[in-house]
Amino acid sequence: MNTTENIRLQDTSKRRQLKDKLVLGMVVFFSLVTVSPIILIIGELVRKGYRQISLDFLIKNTPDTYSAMTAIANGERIPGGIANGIVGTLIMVVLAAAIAIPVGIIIGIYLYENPGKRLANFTRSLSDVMQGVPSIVLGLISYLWVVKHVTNGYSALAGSVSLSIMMLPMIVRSTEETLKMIPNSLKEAALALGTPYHKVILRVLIPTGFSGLFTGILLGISRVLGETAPLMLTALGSSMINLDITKPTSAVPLLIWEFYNDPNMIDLIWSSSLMLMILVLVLNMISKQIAKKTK
Amino acid sequence: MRKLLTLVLAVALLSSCSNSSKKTTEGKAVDLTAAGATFPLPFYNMVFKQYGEETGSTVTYGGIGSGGGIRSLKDQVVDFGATDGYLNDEQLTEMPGEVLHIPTCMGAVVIAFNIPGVDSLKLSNDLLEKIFMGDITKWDDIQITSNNEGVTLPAMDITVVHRSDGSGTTQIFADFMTKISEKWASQVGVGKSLNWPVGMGAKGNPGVAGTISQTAGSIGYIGSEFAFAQKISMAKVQNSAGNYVLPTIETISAAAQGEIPADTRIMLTNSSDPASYPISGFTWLIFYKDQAYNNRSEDQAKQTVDLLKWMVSEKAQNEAPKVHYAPLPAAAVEKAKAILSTVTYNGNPL
Repeated sequence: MNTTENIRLQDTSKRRQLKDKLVLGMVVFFSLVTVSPIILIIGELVRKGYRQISLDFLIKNTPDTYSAMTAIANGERIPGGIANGIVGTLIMVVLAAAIAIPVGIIIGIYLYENPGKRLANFTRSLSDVMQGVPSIVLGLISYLWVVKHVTNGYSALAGSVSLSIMMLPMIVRSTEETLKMIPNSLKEAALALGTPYHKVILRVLIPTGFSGLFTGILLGISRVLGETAPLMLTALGSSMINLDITKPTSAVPLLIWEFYNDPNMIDLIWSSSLMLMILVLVLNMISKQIAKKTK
Repeated sequence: MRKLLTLVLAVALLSSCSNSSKKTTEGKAVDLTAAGATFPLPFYNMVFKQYGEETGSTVTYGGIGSGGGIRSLKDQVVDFGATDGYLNDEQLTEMPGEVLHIPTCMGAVVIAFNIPGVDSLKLSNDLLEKIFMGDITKWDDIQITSNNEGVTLPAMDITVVHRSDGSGTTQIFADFMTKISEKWASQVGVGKSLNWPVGMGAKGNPGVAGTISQTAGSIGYIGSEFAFAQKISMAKVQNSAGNYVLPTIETISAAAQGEIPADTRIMLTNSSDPASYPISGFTWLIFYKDQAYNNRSEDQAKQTVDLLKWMVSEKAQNEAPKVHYAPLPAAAVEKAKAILSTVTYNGNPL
């Protein structure tokens, strides 16, 4: 009897181990399926785009179609690069962040401090709705507000406004969620010591939740980095580096669209996409690292 | 936090600096902005850059589509717009001021095909209608082979490839088809996007070209600037004189040899010139006849007209063929110059 029971036990444990392995295999398989698109995308971009990447690509303006054509005919690398797009993207994203970060953090603090109030609930649901607004609609709004009435023409400022509206709800929500995770006792202790309210926010809440806020901001930035549709209606594009925010300005995603339309520049599509992808990936990784460290 | 605040301050300072510098440069080199059609984008980017190098002013062109170009001019947020289709009378009355057109260069729609072992194809008007209406479905159909003696056509299904996005290329093609085929005119008509009787859609010239090159037995239409640059096999198309003409820079320019109205608003498809490629057309720049609008300075108005004049000058026109656009014939250049001489600022000639 003893031995038969042993055998039965061994049998079930073997079966369990088998099941265990099967489930593990499935989990690994599906994880691989999930990540394979991103690996395939990057692989394809690297394969098609690496030839164009060089120092020139980062520091020179877009070439004209004729020089690109002659270079292709001679089997050379296409001269020039995407410096106008990189500079434009940086200006617009920094400006958008400068608009969206202070406003977003202040709204986030308000939502955290007054969770039950009707205005807070209204604001919260509005910002959730805003997250779902298609980016082209934000471009149209910025066209009506800024292009038509403020700068009287296409401008980097108009592009920044549309991008900042896009970033805003993300920053608001991440600020609120981060502050919620800070132990209430910390705030109470500061208030008990007689610290004024504004100092509690500036010196206790924001520094404690800094990493969370920072992650939210970086994710917001990496989301707007690749936006094309709102910029076509607002920033328009430019073949030169432009530092005047009231003038049309280029951006990397806009350049990719221009290259797509020019039969001689097709090779540049891949390298520009690769650059954009790398930029977004690096920002994402930095934000993940910061989030991990502070947990 | 403090760092963040300094960053915000720095950005604000920077932007205010650039604002003030703009005011001081006004009156010398003026920066111009234009937007519109994507078809001439490579040509415009190139010649605007040359113009900038000669005069020191920057011309920015955004390829946001013909519709976007018309919209921008209507909203007065650009110095001039660009479009592949001229504004009809109704559109003209909707504009806040009188709008003028000048043609800048010419392009065509080529019929591209991918039939293994075949590099030359002659298509009569009748064949074009039957292929694109889906009445002929095999390449070795007797109607095609009898029109192409000496070419061995395989027993392969015909796959029609067309644009899935709205496009001026589609409009020119449909305009030509409407002129040559009653069946097309009554069942499909003209438009930027159509209700296609047969075939599969692909996005943009690159999409159609890519689909054709990957599909044996396919046929479709592509913008000439794209087809020439990519060295795609093109069919000879029958023009209204009955000749079979291959699209080239010369045969496209020939389409504008005939009568052109004074305002240059004309579709050049099915031109009567015996040497012309029949699916050709102008692309236009559009601008206000009176340049004093929306607080524009006289310098800016002058600069705009100078640039427009330069676009139809010999120098700029000579650049067009280098990047596969057909230059304007002399008659069209004269018409454009006459139009430009009527431009005013506050009623005074410029």
